[in-house]
Amino acid sequence: MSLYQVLLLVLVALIAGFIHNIQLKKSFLIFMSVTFYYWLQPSSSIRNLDFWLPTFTLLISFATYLGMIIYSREKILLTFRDFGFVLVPTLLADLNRYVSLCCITPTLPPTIERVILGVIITLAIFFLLYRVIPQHYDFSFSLFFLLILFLFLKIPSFTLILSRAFHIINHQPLQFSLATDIQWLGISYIILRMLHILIDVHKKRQPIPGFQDYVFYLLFFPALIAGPIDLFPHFVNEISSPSPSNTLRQEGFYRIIIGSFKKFVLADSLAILALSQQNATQISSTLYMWLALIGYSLRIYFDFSGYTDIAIGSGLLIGVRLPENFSAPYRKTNLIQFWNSWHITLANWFRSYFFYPFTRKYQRTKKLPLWLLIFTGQVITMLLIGFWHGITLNFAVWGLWHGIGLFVNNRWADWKRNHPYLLKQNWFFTSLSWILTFSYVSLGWIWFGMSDLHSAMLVFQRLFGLAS
Amino acid sequence: MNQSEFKIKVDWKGLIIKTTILLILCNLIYALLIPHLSIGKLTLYNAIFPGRLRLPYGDDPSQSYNLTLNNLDAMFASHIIAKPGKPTAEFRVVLIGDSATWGYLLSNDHTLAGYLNQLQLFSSDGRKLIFYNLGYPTMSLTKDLMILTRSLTYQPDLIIWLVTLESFPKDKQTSSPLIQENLDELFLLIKNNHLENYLSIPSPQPKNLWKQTIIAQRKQLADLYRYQLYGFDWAATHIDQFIPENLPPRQEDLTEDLTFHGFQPSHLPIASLSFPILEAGENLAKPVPVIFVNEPIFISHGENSATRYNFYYPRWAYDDYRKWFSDTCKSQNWICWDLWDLIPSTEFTNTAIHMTPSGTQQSANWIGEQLANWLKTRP
Repeated sequence: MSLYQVLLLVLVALIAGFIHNIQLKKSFLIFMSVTFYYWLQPSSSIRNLDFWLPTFTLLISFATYLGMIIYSREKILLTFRDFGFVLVPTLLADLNRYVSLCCITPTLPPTIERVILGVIITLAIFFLLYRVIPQHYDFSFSLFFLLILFLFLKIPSFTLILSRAFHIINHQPLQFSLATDIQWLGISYIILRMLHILIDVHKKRQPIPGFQDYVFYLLFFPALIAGPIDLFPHFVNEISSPSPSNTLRQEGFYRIIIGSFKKFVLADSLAILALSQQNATQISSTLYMWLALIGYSLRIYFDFSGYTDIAIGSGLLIGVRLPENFSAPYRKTNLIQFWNSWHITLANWFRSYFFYPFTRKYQRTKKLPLWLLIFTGQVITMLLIGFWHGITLNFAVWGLWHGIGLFVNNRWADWKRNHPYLLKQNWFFTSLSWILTFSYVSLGWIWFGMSDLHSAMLVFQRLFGLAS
Repeated sequence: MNQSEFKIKVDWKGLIIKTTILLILCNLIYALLIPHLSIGKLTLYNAIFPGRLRLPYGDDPSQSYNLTLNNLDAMFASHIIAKPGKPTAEFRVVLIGDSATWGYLLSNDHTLAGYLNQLQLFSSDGRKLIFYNLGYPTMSLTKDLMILTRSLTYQPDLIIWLVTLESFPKDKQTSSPLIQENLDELFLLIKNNHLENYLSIPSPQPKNLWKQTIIAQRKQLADLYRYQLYGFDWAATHIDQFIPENLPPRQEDLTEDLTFHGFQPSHLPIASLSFPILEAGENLAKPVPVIFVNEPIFISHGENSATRYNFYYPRWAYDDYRKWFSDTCKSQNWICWDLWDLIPSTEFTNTAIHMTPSGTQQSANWIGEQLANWLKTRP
């Protein structure tokens, strides 16, 4: 995301904050969120893909929404107005093909006939499904569909298949297809948000939301690129609150300035010297390898937390307080504290929808020893968090690294609680804990940042002087 | 909506006014001071990071950890030659030339300077010869003269100036971006060396204040900043150029065209070649000796090779040039070495002057041998 894009986002957020009529504000924001979704989508070498991917997101949103209606058997009337705010920006994005006033999509969108035909066919399929499958439909259908989609996007060899399929459809040469052709903006976050609503509706923790609120929640533009992942009830509550006060606007601007500084000054500067796939094999000195690794740790933090600050700041200008995602993670003195302050909303999502249900279930049904339950729960949770970033060996090892680290930390904390007289808290112990935690997290980033295990191992060897 | 815990009270009107005034003031002060400040001299190289072994030039900064600056102060400040204090046991030799001297597609160990340093040569008074690569891509003798002038600050004991015909035509002299970005310096160079009759450029116009502001100079400032950051990568990897694995080779089959920069066969007038620039450089360097070297070129055996040596040179033009080169060296009493056909054609890479490591090493060995003999004749 460029500074220019951030400025435009902030401007739209500021305008939205001055709209006092809540319904009007919502409509404006849905319209802008969908438009921004097209606008921010990265360009692709596959013809029209930067138009179709956001359109697919909208269609998937509609499909999962329809699934909820079918499953719950509730009578929910979808009006043309519900679709209007979604369809109009889509058509506007497509009109960009004919009226090159601006640049809503990065490359030329498809012809209007193809778009209308695509939408009609999809709606017809949905209608047929709606008529045919109600008696057979259950919640797992949508869940299964989203997980399959997720697998296709996160396993590089599957993504390559998808890329090849698109090349064939577009009559483009197959030899140029790459897994990286498919960069679907924010889809990992959008899927988690969808799953959150699907599961909560299934568990009857909340009623089916209105379609507009549902799409708005999924595509809320400040949180589109890098979260945070808000919970739907909190989000709806926030968006229904009146216009922000001046104090909130000040806080919003403050967060945007801090976030922009983190992202565009600190993170972008650190990117030049941070560890990368390219320099991992080029750096032979142990000292420089450590410096590059520290550079990477700081870069990833400033980049990600910078985006979060901009998202939270933009939200505040609108009048929506998004949840915090970071709380000085690198100042923490143990791994448990680190994971309570790094990508907080993602960790909370996996705790709520996997770790707690998993441990509760096995505590009740199987008489597993507590340590084994904690070990299994933490390792699988961290593996899932790793896989959320990409289903590769490296992310698996990264997840394992943190799962095992959290388990050891948990056992150590337990042991310390039982032997308070053996270890007194003092500055030396605190400093040592901080060094250990920061080093452990930084070393973990090697698995995260490298594209394969061989490169990661090479970095480890260089760091400890084991490779020339 | 949660209650805000934000404690900073901001007077937005005051903040905007103060920020605007501060911005204008900073820009104004910068614009007024910049002609007198050489901001490029502020560098982390030779202090925190080791100096670079060649002048900065980069097509793809993220892969080469290098970029094209065109700021001579910054270029020299980052070079290892700018490291303070010349050791007494060092005999400093500066190499000046085009991309072949700079080492396009060659790592630093494989450049001409790199190979010459590996020869471990000593002067007659026992000082070790240390070769500094001050070559710079783009072919222009005026660009070389500009670099030579700058290099004199760093107390060279000998200058080796590598040239090729393509650097001589008048139309090649000022088109280089390095020249275009330093026209003030070129103007002084022309004036101080009485080259007005040969090279004429309009006198520098008074600086537009706006063009000197931070806002207007932001690209140059950002480049300088990035260049300092790339110092880390340079220190960590010793890479300053991205060398692709597969490159299209130099052109073997040649066109029928026999013209050379607008000149028709079969005579290339000496007045069309920039020998006055060489003369100016030689005079300027005195008492430091200058050795002129005619670079090796690729000699094609493909289509039309009977009339052309390579992509750059029709045979008639290059042969005439070599004659002029030899005659001028004799008449001016210059030390000149002609290496034009020294290197086999298989040792050339993507152009008719860029060589493989092996080709460059052969050149270095030849130059090293001649240099050793020449040094013996020196007191």
